[in-house]
Amino acid sequence: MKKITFLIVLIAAAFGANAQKYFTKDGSIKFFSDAKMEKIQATNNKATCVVDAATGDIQWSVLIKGFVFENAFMGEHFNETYMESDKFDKATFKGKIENISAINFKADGVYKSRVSGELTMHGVTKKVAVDAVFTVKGGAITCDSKFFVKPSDYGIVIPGDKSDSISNNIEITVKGNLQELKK
Amino acid sequence: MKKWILIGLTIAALAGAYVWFFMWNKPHRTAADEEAFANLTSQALYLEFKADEKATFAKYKDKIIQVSGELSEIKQDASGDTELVLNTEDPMAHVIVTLKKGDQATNAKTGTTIEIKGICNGFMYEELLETSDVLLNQGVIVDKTKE
Repeated sequence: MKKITFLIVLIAAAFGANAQKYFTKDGSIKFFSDAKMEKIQATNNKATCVVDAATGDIQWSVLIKGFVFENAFMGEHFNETYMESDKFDKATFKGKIENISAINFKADGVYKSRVSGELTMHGVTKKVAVDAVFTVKGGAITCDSKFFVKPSDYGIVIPGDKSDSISNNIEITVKGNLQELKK
Repeated sequence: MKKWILIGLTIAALAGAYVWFFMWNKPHRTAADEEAFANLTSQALYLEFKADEKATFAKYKDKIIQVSGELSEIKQDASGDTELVLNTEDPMAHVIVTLKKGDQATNAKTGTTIEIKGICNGFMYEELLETSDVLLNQGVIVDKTKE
């Protein structure tokens, strides 16, 4: 009898720990374009990320108009000419953490993972797979990733005379400090 | 004759550099420099987005919106900018204003009503979290006593 109770408690605890969701609304997404003539960088600190620890589902979303550039001129071009943010207001990523069972959000550790899913921006959705690292330390969870995106894959045309100023391989850096969702 | 061509070219080059320099160093647009396009409560702004996100985005995007509401939280974002979170009547919905670089909210008190202007970036509804946020940036506190 005691064994069964123990087992039930154990299973319940395991489910309880895994049914948890983690999130942030203050995630930062940076992009960096390293072209021959110019380096362009922009940051958005209002990205949302939600991770479902049970299923491995992960979502990121961000408002395009929230990216802040070093100078206003670049931001205008980014919004009007390239991202057309009046029409396409958000970029989203919906995917799965492939090795979710190997990640324990309750135990300190550095968990390397592969995340695959669909990235949507400028009205185009593409399959992507990126490396990500989840770091758990003293109850604080951070999610970090760095990957490259080709604007041309998303229907963003960089005119020939701008190819020295804007790279067609943009480095994206993602960072989120996740907290437990308490309902 | 050659001399005049040279002078002409130099002037043209200087003028070009001057224009380029100003375009390049054009300051960021902030809510401090402009009158508000609309002036409403955080609740009214949220309800408009909730009712029709697309139409409301088209109406308010890039516009300066002046919002009043109860201040629930003062935070710093990853770049060190100050963020003010305003409540609405729905506990899952907020209006979040990031102040322009360098601005702080040292006199603002949570739990009191505050009035802020900011540029409208849009609306985020998170299905998994069931939360809604209207996001504004390059903001300023309207009531100077609360800066």
